[in-house]
Amino acid sequence: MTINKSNYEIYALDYLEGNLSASELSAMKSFLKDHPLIEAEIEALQADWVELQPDPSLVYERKEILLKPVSSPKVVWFQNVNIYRWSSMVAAVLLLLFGYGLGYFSAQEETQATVATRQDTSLTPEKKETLVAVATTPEIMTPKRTINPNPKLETKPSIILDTLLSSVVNNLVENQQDTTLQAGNLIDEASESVESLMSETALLAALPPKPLPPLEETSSIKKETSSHNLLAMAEKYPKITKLIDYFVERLPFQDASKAAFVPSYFLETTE
Amino acid sequence: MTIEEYNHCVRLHSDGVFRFIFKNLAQRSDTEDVVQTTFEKLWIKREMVSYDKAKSYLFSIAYHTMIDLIRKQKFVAAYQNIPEKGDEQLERQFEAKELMDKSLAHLSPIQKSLILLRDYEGYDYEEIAKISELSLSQVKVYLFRARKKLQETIQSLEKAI
Repeated sequence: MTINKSNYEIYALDYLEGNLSASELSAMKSFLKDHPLIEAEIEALQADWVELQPDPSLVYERKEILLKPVSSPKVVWFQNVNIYRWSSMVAAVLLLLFGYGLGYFSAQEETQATVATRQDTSLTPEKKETLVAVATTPEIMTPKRTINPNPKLETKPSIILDTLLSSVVNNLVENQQDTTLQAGNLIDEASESVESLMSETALLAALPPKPLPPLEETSSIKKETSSHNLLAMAEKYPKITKLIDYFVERLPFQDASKAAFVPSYFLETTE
Repeated sequence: MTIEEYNHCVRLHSDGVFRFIFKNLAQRSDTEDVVQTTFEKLWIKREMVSYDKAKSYLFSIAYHTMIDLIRKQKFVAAYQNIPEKGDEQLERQFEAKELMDKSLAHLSPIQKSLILLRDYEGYDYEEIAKISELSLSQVKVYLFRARKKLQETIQSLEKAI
């Protein structure tokens, strides 16, 4: 290897401390022989070197603020963050699965119970005659009103109304707004209307399904049907409409469409 | 490392870190800030630092924290107070110590740090390279030049006295 003016400083300290290998020492001696000024500089450095000693009077006097409290053995277990974290995650997943399972099965039971309730309408002969008379009235026989064989869709308005009422009442309770007798009376009146609507819906579901019109007519009729059905319902059950208007006016939102608990199509108009 | 090991590092190395930083900065309040920052960083990273590597980790953090502070403040080292006259032996000792401190003040921050790590704390060249994040060749060149400058400064100060 070659030692020259550009790299001799790398080897100088090791030369003074005797840490050079045989080849490095030979190269260094050869270089210093050719450069006596540098040799004198390095030799003087070793001769005049002052040993630095640590000053024992310099101590850090505030160790207590750096120290951390040592936990008890019980808590030490929890300081193993990985184990605690994994345990928490497993417990959370198990709880979610359990809750989901409970919710799923209870929903299944609820659906079955709702269907059973709806279909379990004991029709006396008198009621059956009334039902046939009602079924053959011009209002029900008009093509604009389709009877969908799917019972779920038939009960949708009642379910929505029921949901609406319960959410409105819950909202009132939470916000402690307007607990006047008027509001309470409106709820009672509307409840009667909802009950009658639900019973009528159950009767309609008990009727044999009518054949659906062709697809093209169905789509346009469905459009008209939804708005017409709602309007017909609004006209038929003015107490429910009055209740809805009552609460919508008292919503804390400037734009009633922002009321999350009011289904949007209730707020739509035919315009 | 455990909490007990961390606390042991505090008791064992806080003086050395304090001394190293104080020799560089010569300001107690700044030195204490650097020491606290250093040990706080060790506390945060304690699970990733083993107990036997803690000393070099502490000096590395302290060194870089100090360099950052110097760059921000463009710090100039101050001299220690001179004791009252009367104790000749103490005076002689203090004069030599003061001479060295004054000479160290003429070095650049990196040169001074490397000299202190090597001669005060006894680190070898490889450890100093890790702490300062310089190459081994750079460390040896810096140290050689720092010693040359220290020697020249001491000689000139002695002549002035």
